[in-house]
Amino acid sequence: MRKLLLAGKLAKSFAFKEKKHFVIPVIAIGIGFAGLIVILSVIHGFDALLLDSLTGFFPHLLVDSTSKPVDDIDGISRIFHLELSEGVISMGGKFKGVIVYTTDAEGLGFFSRFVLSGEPPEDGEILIGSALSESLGLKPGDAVQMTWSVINRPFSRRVIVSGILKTGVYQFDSNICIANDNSSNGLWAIYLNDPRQANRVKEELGKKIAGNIYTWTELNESFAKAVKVDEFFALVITLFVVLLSGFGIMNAILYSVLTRRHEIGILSSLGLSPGYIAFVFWMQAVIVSIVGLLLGSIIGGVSLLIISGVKVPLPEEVFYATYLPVKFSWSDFLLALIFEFVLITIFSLIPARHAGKVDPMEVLRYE
Amino acid sequence: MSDAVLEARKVVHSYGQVNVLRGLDFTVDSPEICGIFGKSGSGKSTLIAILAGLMKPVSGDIFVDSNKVYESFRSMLSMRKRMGIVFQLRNLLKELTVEDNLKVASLARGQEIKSEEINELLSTMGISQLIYRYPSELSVGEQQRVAIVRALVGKPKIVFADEPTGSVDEDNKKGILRLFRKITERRVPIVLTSHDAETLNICDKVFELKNGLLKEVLIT
Ligand SMILES: Nc1ncnc2c1ncn2[C@@H]1O[C@H](COP(=O)(O)OP(=O)(O)O)[C@@H](O)[C@H]1O
Ligand SMILES: [Mg+2]
Repeated sequence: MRKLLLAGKLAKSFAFKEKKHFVIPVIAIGIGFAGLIVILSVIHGFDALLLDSLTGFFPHLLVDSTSKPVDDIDGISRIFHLELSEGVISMGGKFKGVIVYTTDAEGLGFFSRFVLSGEPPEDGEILIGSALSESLGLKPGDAVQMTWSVINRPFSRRVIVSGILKTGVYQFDSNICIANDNSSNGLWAIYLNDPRQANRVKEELGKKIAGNIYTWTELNESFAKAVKVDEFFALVITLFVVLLSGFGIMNAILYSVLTRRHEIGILSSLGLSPGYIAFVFWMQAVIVSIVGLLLGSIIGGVSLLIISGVKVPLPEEVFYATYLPVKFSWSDFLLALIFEFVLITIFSLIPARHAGKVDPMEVLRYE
Repeated sequence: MSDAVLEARKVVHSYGQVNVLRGLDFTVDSPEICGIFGKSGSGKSTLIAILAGLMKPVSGDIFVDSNKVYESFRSMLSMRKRMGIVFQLRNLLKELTVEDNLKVASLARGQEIKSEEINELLSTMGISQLIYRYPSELSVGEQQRVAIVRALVGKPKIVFADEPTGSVDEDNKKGILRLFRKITERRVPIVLTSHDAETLNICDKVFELKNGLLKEVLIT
């Protein structure tokens, strides 16, 4: 135990007497880690924004049942009729594939919160997504030809655009049409207080009704995949930051070992084992990475506060977010911290081992 | 087997083509000061390193209490823990105070030294005022004295010194030689090298290292 404390003391005094050689690796680790925290939080922010927008609009459960599902299950906030079908709208020779949401008055009541301009649709009218309206140059009051099917029955009729809606998710806004049809039946849209409860509610509901039940995650696999891809990129970025920091610190420790051959010779002549001497140098790396990671956490934390305070604006048509979303996650932070610390210290074992190999004869060769 | 503290048997060492030691025998068997002199390049430092367990000779071995020093790496390390050594220069870890230098040495030898012991050791050597200084704040002579005290930490079986007075002025030399005398009062034998007549004067036995062999020189 005493010997461990001593190693710490030696490492500390070695590192501090050589401050200038450790300033760069400390800063490198600090900046790298700060950047990592910010990037992870932004990726998280985008994912959270995407999922929030998605679950804000899209039904959390779709139930295929002729009778209205019971709503005495915990966590259900609303149920209404919703028919989803593919269709085409055409206007002056331009065609566009669309997804038609046919719903009743209750559903329209819910969707009306997304209306940007115009009115909810009456009979023979539709709401269209904002991106769709832009690509076709449509505004409320314009007429289009719409072909779609309801319960496998094809329809084709002239409809009037009653309004434009914006969900905040490009994939919806670029192809959605909402039509009013009280006679529609078949699918039921269910919204929950907490969309993460979808699987539980599906299971409970499944015991009570016969029809198929789909959760929003099952129906939007591409979103789940997008989030997975984001997670993958987060991992790749983390890996590269850690590699950079690792090589930086390896270099610093190697330098330290090379410039301290004399001191190593003295320690060795006192009977300290190569393993112990390597440990002293490894402790330097531990000290440097602790200081660097601490610095990085502070810089990263302050940067996040600034980013979320300033609300960095984004070009809306590209990101569908008005400002840079950040979401700090303690678990990601701790994971990145531990991962980086462990890998850096493993990296520094390599040069530290060299310290143990220095010959004590170094001290005698001063001539 | 004699009851020698340390015994070198048929030690041969060469650096590549350069034969430095050619089957040398040497015994230390009482708390005396053995002086080894020889021209520069005759192999004094090489011999000290081999005796002290710092470098394995090409052939031959060193025995301490009938144990082979170069039996294994472990036995080498245990020899290092049981001896004290003073080099010509730069003996101390410059990052640490005198006190911490002594603590490192005692912990390296598997013991823990109390501050009182350090004080006592330093004051018997007449340098207790240096305890909290860093090596850079000491003269070369003072550094050598601290190094000699460090060699005594942990009750070594034997102390080696390679040209301990080689870099100091006359006044400091006298002080350092007095310290070596004090060490023998603790019944610890000393092996030192020098090419200085005054230093060799304090020795009980003097050997000349020449052509890779040691020859005792009778002191008149
Ligand atoms: N690491 C080494 N490699 C090659 N030759 C060496 C090495 N160390 C010492 N020598 C040579 O060995 C001889 C003895 O050196 P040394 O033991 O330092 O002598 P001294 O201490 O008596 O001056 C010298 O000729 C020196 O050049
Ligand atoms: Mg020499």
